[in-house]
Amino acid sequence: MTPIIGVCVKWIGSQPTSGHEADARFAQFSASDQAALEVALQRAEQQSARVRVVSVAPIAARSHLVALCASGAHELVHIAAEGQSSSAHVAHELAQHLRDCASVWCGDYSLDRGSGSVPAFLASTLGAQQALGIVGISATNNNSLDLLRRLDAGRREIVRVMEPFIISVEGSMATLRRASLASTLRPTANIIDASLAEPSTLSLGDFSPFRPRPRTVQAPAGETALDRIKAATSANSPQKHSEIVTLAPEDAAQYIVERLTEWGYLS
Amino acid sequence: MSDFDVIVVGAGPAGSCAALTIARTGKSVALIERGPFPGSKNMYGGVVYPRILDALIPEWWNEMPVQRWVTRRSTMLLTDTQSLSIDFRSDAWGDAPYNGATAFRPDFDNWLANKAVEAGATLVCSTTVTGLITNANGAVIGIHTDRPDGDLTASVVIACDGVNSFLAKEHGMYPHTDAAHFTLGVKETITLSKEIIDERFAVRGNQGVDIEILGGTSGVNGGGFIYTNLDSLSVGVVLKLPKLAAQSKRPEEIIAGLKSHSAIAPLVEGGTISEYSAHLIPEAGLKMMPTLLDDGLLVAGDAAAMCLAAGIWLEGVNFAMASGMYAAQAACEAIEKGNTSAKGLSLYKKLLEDTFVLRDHRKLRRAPQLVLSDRVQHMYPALITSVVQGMFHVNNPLPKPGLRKILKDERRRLGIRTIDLAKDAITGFRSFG
Ligand SMILES: Cc1cc2nc3c(=O)[nH]c(=O)nc-3n(C[C@H](O)[C@H](O)[C@H](O)COP(=O)(O)OP(=O)(O)OC[C@H]3O[C@@H](n4cnc5c(N)ncnc54)[C@H](O)[C@@H]3O)c2cc1C
Repeated sequence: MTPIIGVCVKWIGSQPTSGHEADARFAQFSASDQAALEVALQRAEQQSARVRVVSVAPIAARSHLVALCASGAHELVHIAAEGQSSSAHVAHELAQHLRDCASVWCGDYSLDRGSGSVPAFLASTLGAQQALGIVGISATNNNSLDLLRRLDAGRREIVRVMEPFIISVEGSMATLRRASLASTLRPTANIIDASLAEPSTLSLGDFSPFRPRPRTVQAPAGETALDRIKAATSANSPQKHSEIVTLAPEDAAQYIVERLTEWGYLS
Repeated sequence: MSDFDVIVVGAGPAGSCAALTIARTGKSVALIERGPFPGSKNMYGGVVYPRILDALIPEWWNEMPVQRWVTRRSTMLLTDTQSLSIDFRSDAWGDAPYNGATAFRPDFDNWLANKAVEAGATLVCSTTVTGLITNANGAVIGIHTDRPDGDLTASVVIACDGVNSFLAKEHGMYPHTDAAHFTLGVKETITLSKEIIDERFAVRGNQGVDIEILGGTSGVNGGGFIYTNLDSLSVGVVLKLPKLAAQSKRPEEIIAGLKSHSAIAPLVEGGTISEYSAHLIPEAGLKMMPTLLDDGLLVAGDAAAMCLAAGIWLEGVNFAMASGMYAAQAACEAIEKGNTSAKGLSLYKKLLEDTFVLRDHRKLRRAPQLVLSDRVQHMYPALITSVVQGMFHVNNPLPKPGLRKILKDERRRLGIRTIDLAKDAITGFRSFG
């Protein structure tokens, strides 16, 4: 069976400004979405694979999606949706059309600078590995890739991902090839229309940031205010510096839990 | 077998009207546009006179994207410290079938191109035509584009690629070009609330104003304009290229000078510049027109220097739409007769000659030169405004001087020779009379 490489892109119409509605004519895909498609096309050439572009986008996006796919994508899945949906819901819908893909390529950001969480939800839904901020491929192995990942302060790291994986690439990674005149005039991508399902009513429960419970702390002892501040801040007691502990992962986890409990962060 | 019956290059007003006309006959037509959508790269002052659309889109006014209907037209003469306006208003222009309208090019051009698409034309955007394909006999049989595998063939190519047409030049249709035949148009779009615009320009609802200005261009030969959009103004200047190059001010400084004139400042103050753009205008009319057709090729719109720039008139869009439509009619006839040689396409010239397109250009052939001449630009505004000031200035002279005396005195003071005045009056009368 011909392998399929997935690409997820987000179409953004111009932002509405005061008194003016969003205008589809000024819509675009981010440079990183375009780079994702280009990388996917290159890998498809190496692997004799097909490229499937999947997008949750309004009807107004259709001609732009078709024009994007004219660069060489074989399939376009257009999941029609007007208005906003949560990242989890979008990822869930995208996943329905990406289950047969060993790799899925996304852009690192969309033009509306959304939360960037769709690839993470997608990876979770598909049970795939995820890497983001990718600026290059440093080695290709059988079912894995060594990817160059951008870190803060100009640093880089190399991460290895095993199929299936979801990768978010930066715009600098590749420039999307220009579509040929023939494919612009007669788009060849197979178009599959889908519509956005209602968000699942299955509740995952309420999530909120973890905040340790308040606990009673004895009032600091001391004659003067300064003494009491010193006592409260342990300024007089010998300083305990950070300790380096070398443990096996399970023991390290256990150790962290014990310390957090001791310090009152866990009960 | 060609890819298309006709290829139209450029989805401006000329190109879209050409494509619409061809598509309506059932012939295949590709409309190739370099911008991401029609109108995205285009600018102009701001007023369209779409009467010609009556022939193509009945009751176009019900659907055309209009900012305001022009119901007031002013012509303004400016010196450094004076201004004189002739102001005309017609309520009839505010009702169907209307006369002119302010419109934004990204809206107007896109709308017109979509009409062609609805009629069956194939619109290809983000694609630049880089050259013409010719056969062994030199006849045009297609185009090269900047896309991979970007060649396309057709029985006829219509070049509507705007001023400075590279296609017409490449094919030798412009035997000589001269910078003096062009002006540079620069424009600021200034955002102001609708209420303020209505108040300052004394209009209501969707009524709009067109002000053409002579003078106020910092001594560079040219002119200025102010047009009202719904909630913005288009303020610009049109500058003769050699004169612009011969001095040191930049175009935006010249607009700033115009905006600071005491007659203009109150109209624009408090506004925010939301856009700045510039574009060449083929200004010399008949004098610069290229060869209009060759085997397999027609040239229309600004690409053929069809823009009428004659002082009080700056009409390019309607001339472009008409010439595009006529080029299309000629192309269709030639294809039907199986002869797309220059001879087979000659209907184009006849249609242009028989209609306002070349008739207006012929009648006004001396106007661009007259309007941009040093005397009309610098001496006559000073003469006319001084005469008017003399008439209205009250200093109780005995006896009160008559118009003739004031005119004579001012003409002498400004050093204008009677013979020049007479010559220019005759030229002006022949053109505008
Ligand atoms: C400052 C200024 C003010 C003006 N004011 C007015 C006014 O108020 N009223 C009026 O009627 N006229 C006005 N005009 C003139 C008017 O804009 C033009 O006459 C008119 O736009 C000509 O239409 P066109 O279709 O021939 O060319 P354009 O409108 O220039 O359209 C040419 C099209 O071809 C495309 N193109 C060019 N080269 C290529 C290529 N190689 N491949 C593919 N596509 C290509 C361009 O992107 C463009 O869409 C003004 C002009 C200027 C510059």
